[in-house]
Amino acid sequence: MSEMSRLRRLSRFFPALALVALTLLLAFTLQPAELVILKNIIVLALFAVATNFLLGTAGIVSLGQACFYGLGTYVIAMAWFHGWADFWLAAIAAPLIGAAVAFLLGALALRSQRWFLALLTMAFSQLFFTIAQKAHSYTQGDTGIFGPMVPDAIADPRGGALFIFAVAALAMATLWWITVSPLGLTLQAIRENQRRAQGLGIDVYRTQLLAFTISGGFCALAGVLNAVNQQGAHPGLLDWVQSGDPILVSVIGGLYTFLGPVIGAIVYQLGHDAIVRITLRWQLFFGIILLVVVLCFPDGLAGLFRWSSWTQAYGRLRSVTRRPAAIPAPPEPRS
Amino acid sequence: MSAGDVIVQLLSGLASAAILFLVAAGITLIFGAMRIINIAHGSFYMYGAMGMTTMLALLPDGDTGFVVRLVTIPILVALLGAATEVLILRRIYNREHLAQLLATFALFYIFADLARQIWGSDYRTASIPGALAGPVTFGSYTFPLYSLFIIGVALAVGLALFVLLRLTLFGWRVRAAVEDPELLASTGTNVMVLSTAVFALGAGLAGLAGAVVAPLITVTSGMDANILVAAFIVAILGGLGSIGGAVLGAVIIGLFQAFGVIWFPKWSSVIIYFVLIMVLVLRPAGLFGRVE
Amino acid sequence: MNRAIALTTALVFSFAAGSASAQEVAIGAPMALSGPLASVGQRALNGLQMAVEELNASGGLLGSKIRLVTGDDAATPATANTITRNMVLNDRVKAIFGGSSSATVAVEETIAGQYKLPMMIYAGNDISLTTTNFNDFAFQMQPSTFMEPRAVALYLARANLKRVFTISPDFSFGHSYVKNFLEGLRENGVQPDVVGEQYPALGSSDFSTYIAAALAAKPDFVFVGLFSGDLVTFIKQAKGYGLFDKVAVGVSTATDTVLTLKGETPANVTMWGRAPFFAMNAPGIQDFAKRHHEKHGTWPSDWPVLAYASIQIWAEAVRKAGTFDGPKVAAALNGGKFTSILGDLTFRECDHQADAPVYIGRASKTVDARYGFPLLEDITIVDPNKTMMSCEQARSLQKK
Repeated sequence: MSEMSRLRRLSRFFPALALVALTLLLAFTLQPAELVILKNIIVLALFAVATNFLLGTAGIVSLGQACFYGLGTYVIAMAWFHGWADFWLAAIAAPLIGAAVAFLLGALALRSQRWFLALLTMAFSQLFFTIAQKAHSYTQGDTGIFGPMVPDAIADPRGGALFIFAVAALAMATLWWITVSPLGLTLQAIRENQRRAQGLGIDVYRTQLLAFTISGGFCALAGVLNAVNQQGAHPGLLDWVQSGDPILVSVIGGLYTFLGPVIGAIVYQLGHDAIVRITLRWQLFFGIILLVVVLCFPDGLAGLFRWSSWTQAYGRLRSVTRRPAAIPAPPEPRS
Repeated sequence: MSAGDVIVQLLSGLASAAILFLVAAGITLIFGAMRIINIAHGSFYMYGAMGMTTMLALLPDGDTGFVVRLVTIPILVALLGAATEVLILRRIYNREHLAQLLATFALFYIFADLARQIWGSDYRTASIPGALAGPVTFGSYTFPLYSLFIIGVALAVGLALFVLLRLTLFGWRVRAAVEDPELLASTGTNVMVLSTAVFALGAGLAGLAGAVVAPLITVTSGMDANILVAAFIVAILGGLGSIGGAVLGAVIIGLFQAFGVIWFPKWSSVIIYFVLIMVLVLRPAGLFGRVE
Repeated sequence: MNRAIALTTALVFSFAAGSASAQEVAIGAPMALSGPLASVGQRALNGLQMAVEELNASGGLLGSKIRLVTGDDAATPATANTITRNMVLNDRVKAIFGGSSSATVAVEETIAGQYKLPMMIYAGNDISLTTTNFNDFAFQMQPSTFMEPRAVALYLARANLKRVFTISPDFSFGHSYVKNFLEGLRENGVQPDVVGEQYPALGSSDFSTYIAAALAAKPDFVFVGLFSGDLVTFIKQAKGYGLFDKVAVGVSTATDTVLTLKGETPANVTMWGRAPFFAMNAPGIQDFAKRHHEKHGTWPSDWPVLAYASIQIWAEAVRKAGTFDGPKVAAALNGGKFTSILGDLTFRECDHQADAPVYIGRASKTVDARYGFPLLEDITIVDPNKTMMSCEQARSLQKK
């Protein structure tokens, strides 16, 4: 009996282990030009998982996670360019700086809710974008900072891939551990029903602020890995359209499963590259696919494995032709 | 700076404010009545501007052509808005705001692609009609007549919106929808048609803003994203749902941008964010908004 | 937004292209085909395509046909990085022709140096391209941001300006441009009183507050470093404020501007450019202009002329070297003198800067009947040797 239940308990790790094995295999066998794609996917996956900690687990929609991502990349770039610190010191400092900035922004932003929060974070993203453009002496403005900013061992395609993978895997493991910890469960409780959570004595603001800080730190870490991958920083990393990417990836993959954003990152990157080879009108396809996913598959791709999602999707498609609800309903606490 | 210079700078700021108001008014109206944020709102603005630059036999050029375009283009954009509302937005009213956000984000991409198909990716220009092209001089100072025209258009629209919302049955219904949609539905008002009408009106306002600003700028793809953040900031600043707030917000942002160029030349573009943050710290729902 | 489109277009072009066959040699040309600098890229593309077509029509180069691989970098360094690498790795291009703005050219230059491919720079003239970012494979065909504003300063030195107001785009090129203009004035004995220095973001749609600020500062001269779509917008808006009637104004990319604005060009504004075809008498330039007009319906601005010449010069270097091999072609370009529709150009050895002149004049009040746009009057061709940076200074700035 205990053997069975142990196996069943461990089986939830199988998908993750399979991904790890696959990635390691690819990291050792792919050609440099293809390794770039693998690295892109891993970095995007970490960015998305870090964002989804806020989005899916805590239920907080932030359109400004690109702030921290770009900040991470810029810390590495500026440390190299201005000679402030060597790579390893900067790489450790970046997530801490990201978390600190997230704490400050979160303290301000979390006083608002829902739409106002989303729009405020969008404004913060643009603020940082503008600062990056304007603070020439620090950031080189629109020109950006490009160059050999990482040590040779990880500038090398394969060495870099392994490094990125190792750091990302560790980071995701940490985030997973946080998600299943009491903090993570508290966040989900707040997400489900904020009033009830408050009634139970949970300090919503402080808990959400903690989540915001953690997410910011890990997004900055993803930014560090981006610096290893692209060896360049530019203001475009910080604008609000960039903030949309991890959200999209999370939605496509599935908000409410931990590995959902990872699946989403794989699908998004490969799908994007594939569509781009076929047609110039990438945005059109992307928009249509996103629209279909939002309208019919709210649980994302992870939900595709459940039969009920398909019947629900069918039902939603049918309701498209029927008259919709008479009035915009008040917001439901749970999606 | 002399008094004349201050006036010129003030008017420049008001001209920017005029455009921001027109776009933000649409955003705030739509949010107030329908509780929905449309990421693709900037696309309506861009379509209005692109329409103005199109050389079609159906849309004549020249002075009378200008007037014809200025009237028809916002109507066409409003129709596009109505179609969007009926076909797409109605499906997501009951969904959480993330879904609404993503759906309108998808529309943003789709509209952008369609615009590129129709108008290409190079920049486009429209001419200021001869009658409005001259300068206005007072003393030794000059100000473009067309910018005054833009301010005039915004004032006229603001007044028309005031009349519409305060003095007509439609306006009464919209305000009721802002206050209490369920109660409104129970009075027998067809809220669905009302929603479509409000959305179309908001889209039309954005289209008008685009059409009226087109002769003054180079129209490029990317203007949909560029206007969006500024317009959202104005709408949030004023308080989502309040037209008066949109006016005040637009004037504040417009003037800060104008005088910011002189007082803080390097950081003038960052100022609007600080203004927003400061206001929201003091009043989390904006100047005239109400906390949900 | 535009980045995404650019990357898309770029990837499509580079993947769809595949690698060149034995009888075909590929050359890469990343450029801005979307975004605020799209006009620069698209106009240059016309010149590049004409050059390649004519080259192939006359039997190709060293027996091989030339295939032009283009990609849209939207003037964004990150995108330029990706698509240029794709061109080198996937299309195996033998030379790079770039780009549309100094920021992207810097990135492309680095890649060219890394993979040992000759790069002809026909647009983007920031001084860093021949100094701090320099490598042995990049060749600058235009007057740099060190030279061009100095030429303007030289031209204006007689006018005894005191109060100067500058408006220039907010990136490396824009800042370099202004800095060198002011230094140029001082070197010519003018002590400028800088009453304002504004750097609007590239691609701004509204310059009215900058224009009003310029007027309020009451300058003697307004130096405008904007170009392409930004400059067109600026001029349209500035006319409404009566700027050109009140103050002396100087703008760059003369040909581009008069071609776009035509009769709306403000009269008497000082304009300068790198290749105004109507004022040049180099071999083949007028013929090229006519062919361009027949093919595309418009007369060529600086960009197609420079782009066409870049291929002419590279082809000549290839013939001299007898091979497409990168280092050998670069050696042939180094210190060599070449004749093209730009006239004679020599790339000096210390920094590969060509002795390219600057053409400065005043916009005419009347539209020229032959061309449909106003020409420049009283043109001065500023001798590049008077404005070039000294080799010692250039070398001291270059990386070891």
